[in-house]
Amino acid sequence: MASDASSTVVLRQTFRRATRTGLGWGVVFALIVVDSAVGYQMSYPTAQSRAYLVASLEHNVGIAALLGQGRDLGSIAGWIPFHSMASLLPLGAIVGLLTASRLTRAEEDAGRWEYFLSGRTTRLGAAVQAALGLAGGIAVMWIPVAVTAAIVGSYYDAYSTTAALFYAAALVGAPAVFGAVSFLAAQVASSRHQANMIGAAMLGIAYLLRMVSSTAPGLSWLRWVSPLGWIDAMHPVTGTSWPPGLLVAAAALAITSAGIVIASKRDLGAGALPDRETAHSRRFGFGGHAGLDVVLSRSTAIAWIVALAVVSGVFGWISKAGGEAITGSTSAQDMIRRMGVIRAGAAAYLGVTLLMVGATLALGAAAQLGAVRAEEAEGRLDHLLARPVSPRRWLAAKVGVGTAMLVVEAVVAGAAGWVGVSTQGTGLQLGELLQAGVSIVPPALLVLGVGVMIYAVLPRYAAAAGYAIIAWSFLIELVGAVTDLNHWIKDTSLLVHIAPAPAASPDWLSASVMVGIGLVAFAAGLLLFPKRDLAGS
Amino acid sequence: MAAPVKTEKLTKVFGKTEALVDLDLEMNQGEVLGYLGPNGAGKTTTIRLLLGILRATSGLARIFGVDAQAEPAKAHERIAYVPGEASLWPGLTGEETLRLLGNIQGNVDVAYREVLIERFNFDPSRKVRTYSRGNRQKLILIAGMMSRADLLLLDEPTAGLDPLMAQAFRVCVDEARGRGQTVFFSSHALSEVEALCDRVAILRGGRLIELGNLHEMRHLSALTIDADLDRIPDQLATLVGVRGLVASDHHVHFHAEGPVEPVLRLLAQAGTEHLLVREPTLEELFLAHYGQAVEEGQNGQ
Repeated sequence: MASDASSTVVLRQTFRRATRTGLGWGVVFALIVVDSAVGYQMSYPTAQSRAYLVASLEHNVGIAALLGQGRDLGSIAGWIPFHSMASLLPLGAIVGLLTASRLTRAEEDAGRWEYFLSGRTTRLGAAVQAALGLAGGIAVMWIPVAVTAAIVGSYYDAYSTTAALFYAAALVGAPAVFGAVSFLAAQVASSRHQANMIGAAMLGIAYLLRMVSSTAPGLSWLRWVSPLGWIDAMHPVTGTSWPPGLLVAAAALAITSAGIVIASKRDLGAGALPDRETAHSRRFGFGGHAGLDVVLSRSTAIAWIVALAVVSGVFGWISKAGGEAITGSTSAQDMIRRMGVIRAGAAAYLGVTLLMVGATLALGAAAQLGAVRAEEAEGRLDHLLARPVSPRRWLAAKVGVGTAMLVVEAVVAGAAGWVGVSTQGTGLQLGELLQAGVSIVPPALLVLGVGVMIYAVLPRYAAAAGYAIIAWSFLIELVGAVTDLNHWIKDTSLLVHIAPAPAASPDWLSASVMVGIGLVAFAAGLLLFPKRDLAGS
Repeated sequence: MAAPVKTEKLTKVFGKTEALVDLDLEMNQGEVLGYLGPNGAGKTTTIRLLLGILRATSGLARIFGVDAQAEPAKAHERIAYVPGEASLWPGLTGEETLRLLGNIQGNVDVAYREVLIERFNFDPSRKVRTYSRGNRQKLILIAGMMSRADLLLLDEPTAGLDPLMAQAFRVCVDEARGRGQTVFFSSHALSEVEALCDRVAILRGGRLIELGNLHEMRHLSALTIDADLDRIPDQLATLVGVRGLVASDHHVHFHAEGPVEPVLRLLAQAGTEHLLVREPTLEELFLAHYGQAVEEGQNGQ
């Protein structure tokens, strides 16, 4: 009997962890579905306000690029998928990418698959089992979303149970198809880091294609090249179109199958792509630990900078159209005024999009904390701190390089936004956009500072603490949109304190307070770090 | 001149586990100390305390007079550390890794680094992720040795090396001794310790139970005796100091502690044809200590 168990060990391991992740995110997705419904009822209670909403958002290229194409926004049935999918498609895709690479390539990198494959499991069998385990995670993710969507649909008498189940399937379509992409990348790449880079590039391209297809009428066919476009085309709730849904399922299956075939043919621990075994030694970056930080962060930083430049440039390019729609709609103006937007037009549109970039930078800061922790947990830090390097100097350099990355990324986002918007003759100046870029860095610095303090005491929880701060901020935003939250509670959200520049003057006071909190937490971290044991490998 | 390594009542407790208890140890300039003990005895904990990357629960650890817990970076100026498990940056080449670690260390004998690269037959142009475990171990051995530091802290440094490379490592340690470097050498390879070390320390359950040079330790330990006799004397089994007697036909094998003269006299009376008297190997000394521990454990149960 033990032998039967050993032959399915990969399936059980992957399934257990994938379902845990799937269930957690499924609940988050379900909450956002509820938030979309409740928020619509509260914000647009009258036929007139709904008509304004339709006029301002439907057929607006700027909004479509940012949030996807809205349909039937005058009813709750049209609003719920439009509003929820705007955030859940990219979020779900990221969850799918990271989960699949974590449960496959990271396990292989850590050497655990060697134990599994030394038993009764073959390479092919292990890959099939891992794919089934990941599929189980997607199925479990679907359950809370489907149940919640059905209850919401029934409660508001908005759509049928069948439509709800289809809508839930569309929502988990992004994690399914990008999980498959990541699964394939994990077979092609020679490390999890490389697999994540490939997956992120694929997602970036898919997102960009969807944006362009929504903004340029002559290029609307491009949506059929992007999986995100296919999911849009499923028209959940408003149209229930099965063929694009089948395309999503078929793509996930085909990509996963390709991954399985490659996995069965390649060596364990190696990638299918040829990897250079030797390389010319680089001259720069090996003078000390700070130089090493630059070398190690370089590829990630370049990827972030390119992605932010492209996305911000496109947002700048479509900002005039997006801004005009906002200007012409009272309800849209009400909506963004709650976010602190004062100026209208392209400035308003860019202000809102840069807020999203700010939130993304904060996520990047949390990811940096994970990388700091990994350096210690995997034993590499031992080699540095067993030499004449003070722990505080090491940590300060690490945070310094991370901070510089965040600032450069934000400035590039602002500058690229200006490049895009300058083609539209809006009058927005480079200085304004650069200032706007700098103004979105403080939340990320606060996350980094607080994370460093947690790292100094409880290193395992540093990255989780960073992500928790961001998740909390989003939760407060969601709940705050539908209920009257106490302002003390509202103030705990980082997003509340970012002014949507250039649509409003940057709130330098709030920015200074956030940077100050980050600095104090960082100083506490520096003080405490040398007082604990180094974890080591 | 301050001792290269000096600990006083050095103690480390993890939760309820006493990893190291009241370690008093002093090393002399230029000596090679073998640090022995089974897994979990506290060897790596000691080294990490000496490096200051574990915080001591109590006690002192000094490296050339510098408090390693209070000023680890200063203490590290004279230390080179070689861990037993080489986790390195996979995207760097061997050469980049050596340059990085050398620059951080601050003192690199470039000519000696080249000698080491050749001696260990190491290709530094490859990326770390393509190295086998043994090659990664060579890399951190070279990185440690190339600095010619005054104190080498080696934590099972030959793990993963083939016998030829282990031999090359011995040459390095001999050279280090010849240059007056001090070597703290934790290992499970008892033959290596026996060949290289001036003194040996044995740990058990986080406590130092034996410290001395091998000659002293052997002198105080049982001799192993094999003899072919005309007849086996009845008194041999009850003679003071004799233990582990195994007699078969005309052959006896036993251990003798204390004065050896009564044993020899009895064997002579029994008509000895062949006699082999052997001092214990380090392995036997080590196992004797741990055999005792197992017996005590069984009695306790």
